[in-house]
Amino acid sequence: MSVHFQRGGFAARSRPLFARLAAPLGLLIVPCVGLLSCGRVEFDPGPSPQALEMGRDVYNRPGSCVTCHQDDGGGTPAMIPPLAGNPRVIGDDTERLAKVILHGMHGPVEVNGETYSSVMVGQGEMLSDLEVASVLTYIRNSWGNEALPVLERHVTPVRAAHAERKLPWTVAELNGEPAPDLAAVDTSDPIAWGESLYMTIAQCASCHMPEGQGVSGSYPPLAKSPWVTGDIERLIKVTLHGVGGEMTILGNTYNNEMPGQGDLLDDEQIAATLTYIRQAWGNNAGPVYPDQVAALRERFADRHEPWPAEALATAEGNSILENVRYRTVELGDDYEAYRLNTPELDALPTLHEGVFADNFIEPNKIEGRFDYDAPFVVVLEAEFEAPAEDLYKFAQEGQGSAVLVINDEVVFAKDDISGKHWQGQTGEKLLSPGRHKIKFYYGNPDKHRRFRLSAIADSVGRPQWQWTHQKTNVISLSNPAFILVPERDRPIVLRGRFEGMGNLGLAVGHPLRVNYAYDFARSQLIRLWRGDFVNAAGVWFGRNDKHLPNIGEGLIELSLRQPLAHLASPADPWPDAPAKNAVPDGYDLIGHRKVDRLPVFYSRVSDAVLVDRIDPVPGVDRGPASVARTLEATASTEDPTLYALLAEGASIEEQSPGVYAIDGTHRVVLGPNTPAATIRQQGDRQLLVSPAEWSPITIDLGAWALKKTDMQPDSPGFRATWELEYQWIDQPTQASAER
Amino acid sequence: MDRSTDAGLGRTLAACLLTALAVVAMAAAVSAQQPESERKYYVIEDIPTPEGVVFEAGAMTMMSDDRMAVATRRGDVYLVDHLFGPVADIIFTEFATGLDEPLGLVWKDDWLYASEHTQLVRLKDEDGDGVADIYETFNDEWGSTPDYHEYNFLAPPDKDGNMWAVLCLTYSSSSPAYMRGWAVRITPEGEMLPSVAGIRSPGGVGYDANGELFYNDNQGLWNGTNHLKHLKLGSHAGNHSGNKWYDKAKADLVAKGYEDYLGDDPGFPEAEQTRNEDERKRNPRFVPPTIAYPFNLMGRSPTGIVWDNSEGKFGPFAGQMFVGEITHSQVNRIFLEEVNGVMQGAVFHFVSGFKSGPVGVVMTEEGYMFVGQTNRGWGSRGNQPYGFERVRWTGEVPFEVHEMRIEPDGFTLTFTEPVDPATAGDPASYAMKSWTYWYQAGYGSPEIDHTDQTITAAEVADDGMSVRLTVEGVVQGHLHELKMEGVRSAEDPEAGLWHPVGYYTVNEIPE
Repeated sequence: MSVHFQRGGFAARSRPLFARLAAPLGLLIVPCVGLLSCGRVEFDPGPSPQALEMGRDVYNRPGSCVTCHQDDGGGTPAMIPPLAGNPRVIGDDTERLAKVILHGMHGPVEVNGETYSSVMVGQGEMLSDLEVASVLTYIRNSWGNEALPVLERHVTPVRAAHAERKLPWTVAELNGEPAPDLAAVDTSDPIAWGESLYMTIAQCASCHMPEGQGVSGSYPPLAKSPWVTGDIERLIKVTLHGVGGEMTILGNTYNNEMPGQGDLLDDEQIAATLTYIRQAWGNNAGPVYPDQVAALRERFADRHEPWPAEALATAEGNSILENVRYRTVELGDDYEAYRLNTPELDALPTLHEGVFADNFIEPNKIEGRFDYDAPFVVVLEAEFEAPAEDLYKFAQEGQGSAVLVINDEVVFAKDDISGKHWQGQTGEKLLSPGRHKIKFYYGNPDKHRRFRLSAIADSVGRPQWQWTHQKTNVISLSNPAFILVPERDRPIVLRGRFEGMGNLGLAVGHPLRVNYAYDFARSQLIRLWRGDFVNAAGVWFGRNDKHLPNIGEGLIELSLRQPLAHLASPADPWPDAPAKNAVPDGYDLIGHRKVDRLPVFYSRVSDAVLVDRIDPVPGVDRGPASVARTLEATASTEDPTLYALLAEGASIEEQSPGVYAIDGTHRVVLGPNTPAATIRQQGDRQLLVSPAEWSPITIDLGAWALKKTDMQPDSPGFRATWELEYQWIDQPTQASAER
Repeated sequence: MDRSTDAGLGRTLAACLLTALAVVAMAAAVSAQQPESERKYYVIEDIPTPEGVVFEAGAMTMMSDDRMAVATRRGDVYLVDHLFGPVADIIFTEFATGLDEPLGLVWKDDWLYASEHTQLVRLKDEDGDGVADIYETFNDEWGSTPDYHEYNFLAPPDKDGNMWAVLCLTYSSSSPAYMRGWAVRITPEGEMLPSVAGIRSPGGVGYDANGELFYNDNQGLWNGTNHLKHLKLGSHAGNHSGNKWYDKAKADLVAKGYEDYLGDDPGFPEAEQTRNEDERKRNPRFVPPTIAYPFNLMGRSPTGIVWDNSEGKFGPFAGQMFVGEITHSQVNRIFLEEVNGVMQGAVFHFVSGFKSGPVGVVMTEEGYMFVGQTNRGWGSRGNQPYGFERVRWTGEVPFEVHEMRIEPDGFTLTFTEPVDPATAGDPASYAMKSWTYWYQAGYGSPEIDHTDQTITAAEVADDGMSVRLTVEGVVQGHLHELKMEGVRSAEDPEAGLWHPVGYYTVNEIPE
């Protein structure tokens, strides 16, 4: 039994209920309520018709007791215990019954020899003491049950005695046994932990059922639900703040309210619970991490109401824009004098104007856009209704210039009409629910009059928010929320183009919530960041023409210079960083090999082979992870001129032996076997450089890795190794010392 | 080209009975979008792909007789087994992840080669656990920018052992990076050899039955309509946007120890608008397009190229070519012949109603065609974003033109089944017209130079399997539309041709 989805509806319907009650009880009752002296009104000896009527009403409210315990009080085998013939329901321990209704309970519980496992959510916040008493009286005197009525005065002290209680009672507690030690729960496996949370204190199972199947007509299923397996941000928002209103899930419509669990559960508990439900019951979606929950909790700290379902749902094929109209303007020959979004431009005469009947902006239908001999400016205007307060993202692509104005505020602007740039502009704006005006200027001096515009609610991947019509061919589907999240045991290794590097590279999103990018041309690890990895929308929706930005936090930009160099004399300067896409002299990336699911990079460096291994390592006490790196040079001779670059920054400070602070952002901690490094000044940069210390080895690299060198597998050779660890500056320094 | 069809047809008919039962068993998986009239002969079956995977199948290759590799545009590679039973039994195993828009796959010497946006990578499962561990940069000599148009397709080794990669122009219109708009060969040692200039925007590359290599190029600059083009070493395919690399390419070849087979930068025509025939005269290295696909009439974006190597298990078209077509969600059929040393031929509609846009096409010796589909960024009639489907011959032989060969004074048509001599022998059962397209720096072209031909005679062979058409007014350089609405089958006087229209591209007229 649970009515907690019904919080909104209850207030509205309770008034007529009391009005109906007041009539048969007459004048006596009404002042009683005001004086809090109703305890004097006794229904003696049997249950009064009024109590039974109120109890029946409470019991049968949609989504209430009846949903689980059924209209015959029979419950559901193995899950929901029956009320009919249940000894505890008709027994004398009415305090226990009041406790269960006020705060809930979670099983397993045994009734008449059968075991039932589920969770019942407490109804104390939803029901008055009188209603609790009435519904107890009702269930104790229905379906063949007969027992003394429960009175309001029996309920009130129970509520008062446990005023601080939020969680359901365990059966053990109700039976007077010591409460289980929640601290003893094994939290190391988020799925096992998540399952126990789901069944117990997170209270999910009471409505969504232990097998995630929900309750037909009342509580949506979680098994196979796109709300569970789909967008992570939406799922977290629903969990933190709740959701209400009509939603269609797997073809069935639900109209209910789920309260937020943000006050009940911490970030790690929510992450574990959601990780569990995303892979239980045939679901097969990636995990949720605590920092994702924390970020949304912080961003929506002011939100205390459930999200309206329509703000989170998708509605395929409908434009959110209304009243979409355009006009093109006559610029004349001195068009370079104009800027978009200026009174002068707005005052220019109209060439063509029109409306888009289906409310999608369709560039192909703008009259005059193929008049090649004139520069082209179009001004689009429309309105739209924001369903919820949210951070909305806007993106535009095209060749030319563009300005987006929302409610007279510029969201992004490139207003130079003569500009021939290809551009992809983005901007974001926090919008309140309600109506907003948009004005979009687009200008182009030559004939490539193609532009794309899209707007997407920050949290939800929904291409229908784009403002250009999907049917045209000039649209780039954008979905800013397509954030790649690594599986618990499975990093994401993505080839492609990433911010900060040239066209050839690779990035790794690691389950320890650290990420890095490796530039193939430079054979160099160039960036580390934490938290979220990358948003693949730029390459996986529409067309693949982006350098993906890292979207997490704590960005560390490492050196762009080559990792190893031959220095004829130790005082020689380290070679400058090659330009983007340029390869350092003597370098050639051979490829990478996946070891334990992570790429190990192989590069030829003159006549040696560099093996560069990067391993995220867990933080201490579940703290943030750091990143270990091993550079290993293999050569057929001991080359005394080979050095490794271990750090670069505006300032490098040695904090203790082998521990260097770089630019106040991160530390580089050298492994015990790494040759002593020296800090050298080069221009306005400081470099941490360490010489090679060679040891004889038998060459153990595969033929594929050696094919661009003179070395042969299994022949004698030499190896120099440098070990280091990158730590964010907020990490405890002892982390590495313990390793 | 195999001029004898009898052997193939005999096997074809024998196979009818064997496959008849399977039709019923697999009916549930057939495409909902395929026209009923086609399903009688060829059935498109939707293959259930791994749950939760956006299976935008762009590149495919056979690794053995019964194992296929498929790469998705998001960069995952799957090994596919149990290819020839019920589609529900087809098994997918993840082999590699995270490649950068791989559109070409080649399996060779235990390495799987993939042409990514920026490089040719090769993958190997060295430790034998079924998953690739080595990702070797096999060649990264071709240049790239972030622009998405730089699609790279890959063909298996030619007779000399070199793979071919066909590299799209940047923005499909310019060549800011080395070898954009060229076809290159990759030697077994991993060297890149500039090989054919003049590429615009390829959609697929593949061989015919004789080992000649072709690619599909999309309508645009210097490409008045979509074309199937013959890749001949040292030739020019027509688009001049990448000509700037001639000097560097020649120096590159010399540095690698090869003699120059490219010739000099041909420049481009002075006149703003010319025709392919003019360009042949201006630039002797220009190979005229083998097939001009009439724009809109035979689709709008030709893609993957295969030839029917099933020796009749796939029906009566053994040895002929099939090409994918994204926009119209279909696969078309091509008959090729060599005339005066130049390849040309006819294109016919084949199977339509794929769920998304066909890109990768694989033909198996077992007689099944696999079609990988995606329409992201391109658009297709099939309204699904991606798909992986199998085409199976039902065993029923469609009444269809089998070959269309040019003659000094017309064409010879052969058929899959005997024609009704009365209708097939009547010139009024046929209509032919021709046209061509501008060869110009601007984008595409309207149809130009419309010409009507006159069919003066139609002579049916004694066995009813061929018709000799005498045609007045065939124009060199034109594609010729032949409509055969009046032709009826000998067996069923009600039955016309399955697809009563074909388009023959006349580059040469035999003596």
